[in-house]
Amino acid sequence: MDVLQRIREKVIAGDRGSTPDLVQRALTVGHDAHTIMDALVNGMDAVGEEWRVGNMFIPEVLTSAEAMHGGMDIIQPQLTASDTRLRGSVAIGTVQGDLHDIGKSLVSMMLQGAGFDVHDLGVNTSPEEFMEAVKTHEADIVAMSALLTTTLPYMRDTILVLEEAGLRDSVKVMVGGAPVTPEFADSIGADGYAPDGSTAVTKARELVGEPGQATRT
Amino acid sequence: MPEATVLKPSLRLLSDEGLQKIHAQSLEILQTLGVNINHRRSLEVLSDAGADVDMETTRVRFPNEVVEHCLKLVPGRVVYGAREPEHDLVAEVGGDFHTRPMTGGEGYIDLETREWRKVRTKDLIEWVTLADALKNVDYVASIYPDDMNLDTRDVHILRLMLEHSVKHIEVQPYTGAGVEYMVEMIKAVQGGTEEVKKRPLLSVLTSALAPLQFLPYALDILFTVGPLHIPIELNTMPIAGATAPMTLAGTLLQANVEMLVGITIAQTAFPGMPLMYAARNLILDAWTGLGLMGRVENTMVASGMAQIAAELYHMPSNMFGPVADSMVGDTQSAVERSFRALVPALCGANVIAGLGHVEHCYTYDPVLLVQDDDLIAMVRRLMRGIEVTDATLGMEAIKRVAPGGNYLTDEHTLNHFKTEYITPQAANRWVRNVWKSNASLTAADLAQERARKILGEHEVEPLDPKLLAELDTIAAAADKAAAEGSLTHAHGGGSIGSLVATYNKGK
Repeated sequence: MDVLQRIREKVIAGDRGSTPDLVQRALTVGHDAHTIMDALVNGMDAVGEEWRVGNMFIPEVLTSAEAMHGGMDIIQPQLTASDTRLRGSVAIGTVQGDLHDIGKSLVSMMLQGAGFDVHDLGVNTSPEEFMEAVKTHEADIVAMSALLTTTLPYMRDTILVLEEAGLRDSVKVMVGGAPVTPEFADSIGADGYAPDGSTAVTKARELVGEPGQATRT
Repeated sequence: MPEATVLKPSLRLLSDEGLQKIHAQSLEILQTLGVNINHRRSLEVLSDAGADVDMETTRVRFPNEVVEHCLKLVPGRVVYGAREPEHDLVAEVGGDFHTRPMTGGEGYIDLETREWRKVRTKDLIEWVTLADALKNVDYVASIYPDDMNLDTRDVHILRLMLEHSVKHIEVQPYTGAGVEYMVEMIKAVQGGTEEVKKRPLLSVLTSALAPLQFLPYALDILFTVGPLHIPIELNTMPIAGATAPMTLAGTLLQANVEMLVGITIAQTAFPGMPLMYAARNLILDAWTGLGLMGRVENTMVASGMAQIAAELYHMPSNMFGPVADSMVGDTQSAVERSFRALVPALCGANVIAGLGHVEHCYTYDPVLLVQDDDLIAMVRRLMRGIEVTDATLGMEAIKRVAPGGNYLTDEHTLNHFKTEYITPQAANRWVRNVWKSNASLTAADLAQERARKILGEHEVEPLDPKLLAELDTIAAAADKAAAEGSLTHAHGGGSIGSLVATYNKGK
């Protein structure tokens, strides 16, 4: 099998050990970094589709994502910053006052798996920290998560801070978490809402203008 | 030593003392009161074996030693063959349970219109196809189309089931005479009697008539399948308060006497004959007069029966599982079916029967058959117990990940997320907004959709056309015999199950 085809297969298999080795070999035999990146992303797209139809599961998708990123690390030095942005850049975090991590981490990993350049700001992220991250990483999307009803107002505050900094028009805002509803998302002027980690990827791809992909049914 | 790390869940509803009392009083009834057996050959073999037989009144009284001797001959292990050997099953005391759909009713809920009607031939094919496809339905059982010639219906049913399923087949014959033709069909499919004896792909149900009677057709069935050791699901259907004592213990006692009679006849005539202890119980509803099946007390009696079979007689049992009184697959149905499926499994039943029905065993519902596939998966998971090993404890994973961190892509998660948990095939697992955007489908909608999908996709390995022709020839011979009047309904005109159902219907 062609080494590029094998890279694709290893990503699909979630083989974190041998994907980077294969990428190294592909470089050695003369493939350029962009071609190799295409193989990695292509494998990950196949994983996304398998997951969408119910043939693969989140732990497997995330493991494939780790395999893909292991490969990306090898070719990173030969790529430009705009190359590694892939589908787009995302600044993600749990909002101020909220220390709940797992839902946000799941979305973060799923977005990475789908080929986004994700900057995870962790928990208890203030509006100013979101704003700074958008600037630094030229983010296309800000993704905010909350589990506590009491911390929901910080989502609105973050949007206000982005407006004041003159960044609101250049970035899409998506929100999620158990207490968040589509009505609430509309009321604070967010661009998108995802009810769970699974649908967040679909929403993010829509927000960066990717062709719409059906939600899981 | 994986056994040592898992406690197989179990439950007992009868004490040792209670069991012994039931056994002792059963023997006393058999010896002193006796039972009526309206079947000449049975009376002859029982008389030869030392029973006290009155040929005039057909009353038979059993000396204890005759019964005890026969109990020693009952196998603790029953093999169910299947057209595809991978579906062969073994029902064994202490072993895992198997399942079959409901058999014996007359109504069918149409998959598309969801309207009730009498069963038709196309429903039989649909039902068998679903049962053949569903993973947690281990063998198939007959349903009874209204649009067939009643005299030879059993024979034609078996012919269709052989065509549409590769799993083991159980038929509840409505005539004694048709069974000969059924046996011929099985011999044709399995290529002779030796293979049938080794792994019979047919089993039959036959029943006592409570209280303490046996009808001729029921024993005709036994004597027809006996020489080939085709397994019998030995049944009785007493109604507490009507055809059995009102109490749980009294029902157990009388049903056990009826089981012991069936066992004694079978083992006297055909030593070593495979039998399933398959007593049922209904409860007279003191207000409507109906014989009910979905009550908690039904579950308790069935579970006690499973315990009697395993602990007193070391023979496998077949108990009603997800059986309910509700007219539709509603909450009542779900609650009753859950109780009835789970508790007998915990009490050691080897077959959980009666999947996919509503209305106390009178009506089949293909949607519920699909839902019961999920219910049985849950019961199976529970019966697997909690496996405690170094691998499942995952201490190394905890050390790798915690404090903080997450397990999403840890190898321990990858190794166990599929095997440790079961995934229901027709259940909602969404948040509300996603659920609403998917048309707010209920569990029943999902099961209906799954049924449609299975019916559209499932393929059964076809029978050799020559063999099919042979089966058709056998069925035609049965039709000819019926037309000539040499194949007739035996006394009773049907199985006890249908008598009970008719009795309910008339109320």
